[in-house]
Amino acid sequence: MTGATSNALSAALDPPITDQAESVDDVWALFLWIGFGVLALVVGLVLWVMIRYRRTDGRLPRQKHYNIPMEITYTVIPFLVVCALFAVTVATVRAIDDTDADPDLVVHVVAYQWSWQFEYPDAGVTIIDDSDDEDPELVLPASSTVRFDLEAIDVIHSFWLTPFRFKRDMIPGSPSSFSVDIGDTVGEFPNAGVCAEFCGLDHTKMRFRLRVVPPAEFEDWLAEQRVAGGVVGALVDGAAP
Amino acid sequence: MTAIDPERRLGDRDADRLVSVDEFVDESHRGRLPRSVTGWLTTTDHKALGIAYIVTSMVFLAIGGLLAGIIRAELAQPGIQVVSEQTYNGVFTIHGSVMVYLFAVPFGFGLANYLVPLQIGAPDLAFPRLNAFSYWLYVIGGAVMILGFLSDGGAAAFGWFAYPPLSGMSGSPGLGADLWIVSIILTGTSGTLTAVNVITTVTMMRTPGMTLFRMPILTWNLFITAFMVLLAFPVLSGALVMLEADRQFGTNFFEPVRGGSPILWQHLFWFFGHPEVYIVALPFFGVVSEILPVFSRRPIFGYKGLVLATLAIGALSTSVWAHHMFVTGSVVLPFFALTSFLIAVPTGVKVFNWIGTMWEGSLSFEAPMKFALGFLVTFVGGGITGVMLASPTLDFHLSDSYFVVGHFHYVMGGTVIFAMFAAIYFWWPKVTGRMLSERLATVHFWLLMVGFNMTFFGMHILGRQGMPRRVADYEPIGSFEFWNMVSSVGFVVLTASMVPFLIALVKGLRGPRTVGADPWHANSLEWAATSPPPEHNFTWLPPIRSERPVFDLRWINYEKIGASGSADAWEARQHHDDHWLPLHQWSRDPDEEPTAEQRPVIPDHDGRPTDESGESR
Repeated sequence: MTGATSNALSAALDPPITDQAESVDDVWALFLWIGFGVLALVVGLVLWVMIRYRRTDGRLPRQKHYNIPMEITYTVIPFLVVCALFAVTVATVRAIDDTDADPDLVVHVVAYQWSWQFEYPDAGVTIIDDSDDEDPELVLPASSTVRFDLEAIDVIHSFWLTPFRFKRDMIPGSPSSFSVDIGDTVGEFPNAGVCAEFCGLDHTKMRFRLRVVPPAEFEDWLAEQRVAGGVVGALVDGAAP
Repeated sequence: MTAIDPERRLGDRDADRLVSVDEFVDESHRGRLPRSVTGWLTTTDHKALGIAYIVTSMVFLAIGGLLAGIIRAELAQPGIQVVSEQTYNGVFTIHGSVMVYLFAVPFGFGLANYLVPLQIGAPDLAFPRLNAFSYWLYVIGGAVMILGFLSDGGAAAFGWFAYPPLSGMSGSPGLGADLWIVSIILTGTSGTLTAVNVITTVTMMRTPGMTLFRMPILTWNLFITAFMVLLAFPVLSGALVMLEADRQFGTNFFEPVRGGSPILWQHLFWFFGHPEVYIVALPFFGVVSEILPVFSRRPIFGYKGLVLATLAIGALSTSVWAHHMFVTGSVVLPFFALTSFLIAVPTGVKVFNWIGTMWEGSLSFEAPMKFALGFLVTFVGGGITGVMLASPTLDFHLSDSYFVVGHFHYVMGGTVIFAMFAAIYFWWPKVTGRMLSERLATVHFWLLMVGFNMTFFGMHILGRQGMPRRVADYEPIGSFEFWNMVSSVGFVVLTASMVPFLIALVKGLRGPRTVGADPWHANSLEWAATSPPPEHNFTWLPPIRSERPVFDLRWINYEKIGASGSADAWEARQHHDDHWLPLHQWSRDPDEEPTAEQRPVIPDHDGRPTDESGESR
């Protein structure tokens, strides 16, 4: 029972696997601590006034209407705090919302109702969802820079990789791109890929698996796929934006 | 120099005593609601329509809650157990739409209807028939939306923000989508008309002495909300007409296959959608700003700061919309991040003003105060996650996840629900002339507090750990099962909290009307009218020399406590009554014909009003 409980409370979130995701987690930790601090401050003040200033007699308390210095203080301090949070955001967001012109690998992702297609245009390999039981699998090389060219062909989808701590909406008619620097973690992430924008009937089932392999193994895998002829049945051929 | 001596006014009684409002109001002038169906259908009385708005919106709250129950039942465990995915998609769409368009906003309009004329000393809203028209538009619009469930193909199933192309003809061919669009156009138009009415009323119909900066904060907030409605709702209605034209008349505003732009819809929708969040919240901020001073026996702290904060929120709220679109990759991130962060400043100012109001006060914890404090704590929780979502760095991960669901249920759900119950417990005696049970209210409050936090807190964790919103099913990984189960159990507790509330309502409607005009020892003008107020509201008004005319009246015998020169106020009042009150006397009652005579101020020993000279009329 103890084991089951600890399992039930364990994090479902995979560790960050890109440089960008690590920086997101750092910012998250910062915001979380500041957030808890503010919550504790306000709840503490409310509890304090509830206890300290509860009604004990019928006398009218001092009728104080305002206190300008105090009001300026509690306007300026939150202003400075949000300015600091804004500075942190601006400093980190550029590296996260980035598009590399010359990446190690380009993956052309096509989303449709209700699955995914992953095309590796340089290798001429396309992974399609040809199974009813299994989600399609995105395979990526570790320690490399990868650019994703995103395209939706029917309605709006959203490409969310939880170990990337990043998602990008895929809007039909407006292809977009982003790139990440994948670290040296390898492994399988069966729950990593999610469509995050509601896209109709089977939105719930529109997921994909992620596997990160060492670069050499990745080349072997690509060669294997080329022999297996994974291009058959592709929805959109190599017209990457 | 004091020209008219309050001591003389109040007879030979003790000059140091507190004045009771009941000495001034005429109990024979209790208001009546329409008694027949025709009466309700044709009423233009702002109080009857205010009650109608509030009751109707509570019915929609119940419908929305029922739909939420289906959602929580389906998500209690992984797998598809309760409803099909198609039904589930319709259920969450209508849940969101009902709660936002048919419950939260109209409840605020109900408050505006009932309270704005009372708080500014006016006999009704400026355009009573337009007001009735808005109400019936809203009822029809709401019915149209719910009827979607009966249409071929079921209700609309594209989420409450209806992103095309999914909401276009190819994505949602069913009639339910068209009904949804028409419904929102109708309720949006209703809201626009109400906003016009509120703005005109506040601008034109304040009683003399009621300057803008003596208006209660609630009226201020409803006034500013009305401007935001005027700015936001027509944009939504226009966008919906474009969407409907795309669906039925072959236009291509949003259909990418034929050259339209789905992003255009998102801009138009969120240009409405973010002010909408504050349109929902500001009236409830106003409610709390009315309640905290009363139960703290303190004036609202930093009145002008609060008004400025509300204005700042209103202004900023029109420039933050694209934070809903950070993940589209097609908006300027730093600009919208900055404006979104900045809106935390006036919001924080409000929170500190509320705490400042209680500081050094004399706090008692009757039902309205409990719910107001519950609001305060819940709202801060939601505000903090809002600041996290304002940062694109974090939003890229959290957007469209259950984190967002948790966030907006704290800011829009918790804020509205707690402040709504605070409002109901606070104004119930004014509206009905009876009190609600304190004991049941306490049970209600704690069940709600526990149930609400159980239901929505875990959603933040689910979202951060990768659970997307709007899914009927989820993988049984990590803590997903645990937190979803906690949330569903929490929803049962939340629903159970309605039981003591409903019992209290039923009990509260029985028995004689025993409550006087001012049961809470409150501040604003509505407490100077009988409970319930008569048709056209006032037979008598206290002098208005500050934002707390009723407080000033109670403490008029004490130097330096009420408004400055409150004794002089009697002279000013006299002048006002002679010159202005005839303009406000709209009643056809021959006893209340417009008159330039002096107004009755105190009852004689037989309870009949007497005039200035002390002679019975």
